[in-house]
Amino acid sequence: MPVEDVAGAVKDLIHAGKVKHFGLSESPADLIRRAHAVQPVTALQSEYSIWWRNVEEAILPTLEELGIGLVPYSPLGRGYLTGKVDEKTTFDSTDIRSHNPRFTQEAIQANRVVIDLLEKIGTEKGATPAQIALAWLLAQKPWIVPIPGSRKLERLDENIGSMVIKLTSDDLKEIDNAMAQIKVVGDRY
Amino acid sequence: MEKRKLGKSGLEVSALGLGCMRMSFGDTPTDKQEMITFLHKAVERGITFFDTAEVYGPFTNEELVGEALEPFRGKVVIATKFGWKHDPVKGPHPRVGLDSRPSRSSGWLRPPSDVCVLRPLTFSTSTGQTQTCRSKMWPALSRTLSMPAR
Repeated sequence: MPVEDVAGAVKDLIHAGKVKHFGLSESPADLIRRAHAVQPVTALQSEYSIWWRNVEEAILPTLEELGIGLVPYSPLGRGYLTGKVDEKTTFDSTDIRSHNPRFTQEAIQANRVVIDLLEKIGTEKGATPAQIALAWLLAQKPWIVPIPGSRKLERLDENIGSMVIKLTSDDLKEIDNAMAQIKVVGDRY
Repeated sequence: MEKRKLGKSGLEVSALGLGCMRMSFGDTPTDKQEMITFLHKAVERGITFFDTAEVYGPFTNEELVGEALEPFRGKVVIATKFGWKHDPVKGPHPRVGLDSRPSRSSGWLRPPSDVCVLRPLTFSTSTGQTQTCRSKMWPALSRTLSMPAR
């Protein structure tokens, strides 16, 4: 299925008033470029967070060049980056994390170093690990809009609180340097 | 709340959006009314960008988000994802083929969705024919065009 046909179909839908904008999800750079040539892409939705940064190599430069926004999903690593998950946490079988490789006991323990880092920066800034993780993402580009999932008001308010936390270029460097030393355990799916 | 523009499109949304999947999919079940109240509180706090998909449920998440946000039509942006044909057992599934989703979506998601998100890489036709997405989508779209526009 050529992506030009998909983009062309959405173009028709936009002209018909059925949808207002065109988005893509988890698409590689060349495909974004081809789709964008047929129907301008408003946003790409892809996983991006402090512990999953694959979009940085080819995707972010392409989006910047073409003027496409990025909507990172799982910006809090499916809840792990809140620091509230430990090896004693159990997941109901209806919870998709019950069969996610980053939520095995081994991965949860091994990746604790990421939370330690977020907690350290958080202590300096008076913020929670989740707020640092979101502030880090917001600081990457002004056209990034993360979509943390939430079903609890206290969690939503915590996430909203990340917007007032400003990370300096030194903070961002410190996080980058520390993360470069950390080998995150477990595939993301 | 701080707003951000999604690229050059001019679409402006709150700097943080709200992922709605787990309100009806991939996690322990929730009470729909509670989730509607929660979504209203998110709007009160200035969130104007909400993410859902046809496969979340399937369908029930779009229904929830559409119903909850109907009072805020024109003031909020909903992003959804479509494109897979429906298997009676598996629901929307990439192996079953392409589907003309936005037509149905604009019924469930009461305000027309502002961003539609596709996963074209995973598209494949069940018959193996090289039928284009465009020709597959048009018949269903034409049917919907005869309905009152939302």
